[in-house]
Amino acid sequence: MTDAPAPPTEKGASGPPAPVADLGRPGRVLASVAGVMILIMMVVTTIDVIGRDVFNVPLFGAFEMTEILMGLVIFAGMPLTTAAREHITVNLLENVVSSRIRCIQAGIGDVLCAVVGAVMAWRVYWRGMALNDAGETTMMLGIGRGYIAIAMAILLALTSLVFLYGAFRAFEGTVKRP
Amino acid sequence: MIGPWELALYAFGTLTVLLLVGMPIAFAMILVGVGGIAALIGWQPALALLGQIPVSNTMSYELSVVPMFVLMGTFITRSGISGDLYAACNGFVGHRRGGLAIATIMACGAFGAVCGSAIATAATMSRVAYPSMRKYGYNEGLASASVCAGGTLGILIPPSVIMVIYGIMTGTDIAKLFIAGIVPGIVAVGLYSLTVQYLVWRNSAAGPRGERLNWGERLTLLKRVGPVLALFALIMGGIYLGAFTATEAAGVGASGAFAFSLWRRNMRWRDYLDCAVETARVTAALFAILIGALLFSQLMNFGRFPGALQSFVTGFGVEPLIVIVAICVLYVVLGTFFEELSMILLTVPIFFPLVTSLGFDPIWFGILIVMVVEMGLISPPVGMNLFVVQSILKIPVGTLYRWIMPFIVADIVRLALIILFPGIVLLLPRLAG
Repeated sequence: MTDAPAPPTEKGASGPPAPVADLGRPGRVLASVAGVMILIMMVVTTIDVIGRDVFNVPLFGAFEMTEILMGLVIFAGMPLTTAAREHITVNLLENVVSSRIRCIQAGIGDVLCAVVGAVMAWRVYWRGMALNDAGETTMMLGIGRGYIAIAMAILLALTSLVFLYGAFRAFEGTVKRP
Repeated sequence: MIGPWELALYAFGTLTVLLLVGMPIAFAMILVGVGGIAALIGWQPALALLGQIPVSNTMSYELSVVPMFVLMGTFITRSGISGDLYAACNGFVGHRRGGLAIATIMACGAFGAVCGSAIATAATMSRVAYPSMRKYGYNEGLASASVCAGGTLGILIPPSVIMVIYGIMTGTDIAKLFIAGIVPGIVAVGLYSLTVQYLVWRNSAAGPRGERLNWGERLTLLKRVGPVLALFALIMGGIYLGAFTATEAAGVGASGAFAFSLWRRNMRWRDYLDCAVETARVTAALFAILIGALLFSQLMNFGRFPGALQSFVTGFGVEPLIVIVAICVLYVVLGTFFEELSMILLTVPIFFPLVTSLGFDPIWFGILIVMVVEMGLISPPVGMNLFVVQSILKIPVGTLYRWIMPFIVADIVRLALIILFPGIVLLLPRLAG
């Protein structure tokens, strides 16, 4: 027996949606990486809890591993969420406007988001450089926090590009085809 | 420098325009937050915050509670347990008039006990409970409205994604919020069941009797859902007794749901990965909003808006209870056309200091907010659960709106009960110490 598919996160599941961006093979690879990170997080937490509560031996570095995976999963998920148009939007005019206007709206929204994403990527990158200069590493595993931040910045830059691609697809959707 | 009220007006005004244009909420909040901070105190600190908040507020052990509970809910949803839960509830109450609808609400409650999302609960139960109710001759309005209303229990009965996010935003103990949700959840199941009774009393053709089962059959049905009940007992028992923090319970719960779906043997390796990928996407969407809300609330704090609101209210000498009622009314009105999660994230940083300064309990206020969100989910015209159920079942919107109204009344009654008798919420967390 099969159950519900992914619940729609966009407000208002009715009406024609703006076109989603298919990221192809690179998108599937990124998705698998993000998924595996989630599963690792699950396993790490469970082993840590059982180890600590039952055998009194916590898993070495579990706390930090979870922290790092958390940071990476969120930003690895960002381009995927963007491509699937799963960012939550409030579309009050949803049922009022034509699908043409909807596409234009989505396109404008995407361009604005691409700009925000790009500026964020730039700032997070500099934050990462600053953390590296300060030599900040995690306590147990000694992983440079700056490198994690730089990875986040790269994923944010990717998100920004996906938004641009989404805008392109949305504007393309407004062009009437024979 | 502009005053706090002007600042709030500009900020919320700009945000509304951006949302109307079709910009995703998370990025609109980031844009307004950073732009506003830049206008108030300069670009340097604004850009520094934009670099800092996404890094320091995501790499956190405590926050892994969000993806782990989402993952648990996804596993449970895919494992197909919902049908068994419904059959078990049906076995006990299906022979009464309106019994299948009551069973739907009970099954939603049970499903909500292992899933933290109202939308997932409603979507799942639409597919499971609705066809069965129709088969027994239930009115489509009663059948669909009970799924819509029951679905909202997903966020009241712990674990609950909304409670986790409220806890993160306000620094309230998530474990205590979960414990506090149990009794109101049971009250909600009771009130919704009474609503169904009232509806079939008024229109006895709407919900005819189903078959009566003997105790042997009932026990067989109960056995099939035993592992899910055990999973809930493990999570909440562990939290209640203090054996787990909410974060640990979430990780263990996800593993438990994983083991459960292995035991049921109806998922392939690919399905597990799909569940995890879906979790990553939902997590990204939630944290994008969280980052936006943090930047937006920084702007409000720099502009000293929460303080201004607080002195405005105290200056008027308004009765604290009136403030609470006013907040509820505002939420219900906003909730009819605004997305609930973002509404909470935008307003909680402003209202929380006010409400706690008036002497209300943060845990109680959290549960109150969850209930208001629940009501928003089933309020026409744009309640999210109404959309989801309507798009799956393809029933006339007017019918659904008419039959959901009594359930909204039940929500109002429940809200009034919680406001008048805070003990309903606070008793269990106080006992847990």
